[in-house]
Amino acid sequence: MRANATGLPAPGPAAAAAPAEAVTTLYQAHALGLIRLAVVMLGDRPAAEDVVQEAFCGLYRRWHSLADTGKALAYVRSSVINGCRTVLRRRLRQRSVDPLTGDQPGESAEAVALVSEEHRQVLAAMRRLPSRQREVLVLRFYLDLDEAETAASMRISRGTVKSTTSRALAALGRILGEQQS
Amino acid sequence: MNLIEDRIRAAARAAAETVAPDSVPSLELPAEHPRGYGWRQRWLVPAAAAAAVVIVIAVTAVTVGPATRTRAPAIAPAATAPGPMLPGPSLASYVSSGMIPPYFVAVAFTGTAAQSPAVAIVHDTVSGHALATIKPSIRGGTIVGVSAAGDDRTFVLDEQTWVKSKYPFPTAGYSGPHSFYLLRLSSAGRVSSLGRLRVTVPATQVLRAFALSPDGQRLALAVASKKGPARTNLEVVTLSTGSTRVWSAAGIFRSGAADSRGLSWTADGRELAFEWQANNVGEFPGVEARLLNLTSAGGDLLAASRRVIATNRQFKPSGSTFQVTDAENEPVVTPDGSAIVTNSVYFQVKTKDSGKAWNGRYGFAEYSTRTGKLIRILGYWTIKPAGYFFTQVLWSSPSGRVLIAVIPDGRMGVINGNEFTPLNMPPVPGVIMDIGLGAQAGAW
Repeated sequence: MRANATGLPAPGPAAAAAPAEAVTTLYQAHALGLIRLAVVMLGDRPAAEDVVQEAFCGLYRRWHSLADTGKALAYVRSSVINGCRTVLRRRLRQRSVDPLTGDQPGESAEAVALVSEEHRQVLAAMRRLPSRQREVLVLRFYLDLDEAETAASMRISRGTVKSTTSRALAALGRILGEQQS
Repeated sequence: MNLIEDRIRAAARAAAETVAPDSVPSLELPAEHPRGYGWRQRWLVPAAAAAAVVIVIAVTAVTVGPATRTRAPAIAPAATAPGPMLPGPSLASYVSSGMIPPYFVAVAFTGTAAQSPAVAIVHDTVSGHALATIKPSIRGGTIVGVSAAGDDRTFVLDEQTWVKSKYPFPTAGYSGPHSFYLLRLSSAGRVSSLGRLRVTVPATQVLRAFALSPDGQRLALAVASKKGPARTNLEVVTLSTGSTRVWSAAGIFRSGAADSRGLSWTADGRELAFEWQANNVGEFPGVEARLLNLTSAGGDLLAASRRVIATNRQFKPSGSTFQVTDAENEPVVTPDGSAIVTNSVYFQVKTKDSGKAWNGRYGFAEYSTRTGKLIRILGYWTIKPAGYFFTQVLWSSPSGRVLIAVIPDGRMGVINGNEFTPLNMPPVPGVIMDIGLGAQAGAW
């Protein structure tokens, strides 16, 4: 169930290999899942690819400073989440500076064609949530991470995961309710 | 199970599944030692390692300058998010990380722009300093164009006779046959050899464009007869043997003036991009970017090539405004063959203001060679009121995510998403861009 949904199997023996080879192997095994994760977060395929690319470049640059290379996947997943946050913050800044950029990248035409109206409503509602709430929903219900794994990925406590999840679900319910009424 | 949780799962998975498993791009690791930023040595990027991590750029498999403490630039994540331009990383960091080549060759006029003979100058990409000057070989000659191979050390120069224009305004007309010279640079950017090639274009023909292959072994030329119906020959000459393959079709090969670089190769040397106009009928005749399959034996140019995008103006209703996309002038194919890069102009035309151009948006649009769809926009400049400000792609990274280009105000620089780092070069004069000589501003 989890592997099907996320494409993120546990890290393999790549950790012991040379950095370039290890990072490339890790990328080949996990890029699809991570790009999908970033697409869910950002709704924008090219930006998602860039975030994942940059996360792996960061992993490569920091390979020798990793205390435990077996945790490389966890490291790169956190980097992807951080990268998504940066993109979203940059979009907000651009929107406030230049009103001409009202046409935010959002979903591509292709994505619009492939995703149903119901799903797009839910995704649009999720994008109205604060970034932490959105992240916790994606990690918990898309990646099916448990509270401990979610807490580790977001570098927050389990208690915060629990309370943020609760608030996010309530907020999402309100937004979807408003859309339907 | 909570209904909202189920809806989140279903929606997220639907969004995720828009990413097909076979569409994941290759990883491009930086050409940088993974131990960090303090590694101070001249270093050679090992070819084997480069192959293992997917070659970032053909020219990184050669020595580059000393590593600095500067952080290697990242590929900007907001590459498809039009917005204000931000200052980019330093040129030194781009070059030391192997993201852009260290040298370029530009055509420089010896007097008034486009009204005097020209020489070729080898420049250092970081400082802009001139490292060498190549003068015409013949008295009264002028260098009219330059094209680079993929190693950033091999270039071809095009020479013609210079004729003073009889008009009071600048033109790009030169005279006589074209001669070509192969220039090789040392690792320090100095001239190591310069020899004449056994390739000429006679005075009875017009040279529309030329481009040296990435391996420096072949020269592609687009030529047309000065008289008779519009017909273009696309010739690919193997420099070592002189053997030539020719593709031909009735129509107009689109390029800037003189012999601007309207041709571009993929890094594997298997495809060549060009801009084609089938006829000159109507207000906006069909203009398209095409890819020629170079494994074909020659013959019909159109049969051996495929249309990737239409590059003529497109009017797109958008609320109370019209968007005009003008993607002309020498689109280039990215070395990995994944995209066509065009210099696009977006006009927001307010219909209630008598159709007067209101906001001009300028950027470089990239279209998938597989689907023809827009995949990213690099650079974003708004100019009010809109007008024609010519831009020019001069160099593309393998995937097209980093460009070197001339932007609307004439500056040359590195474009990485919404980041711009200007070269240490004076702006390209407007007249040079106006008459289509912008491509001569630099070849990497």
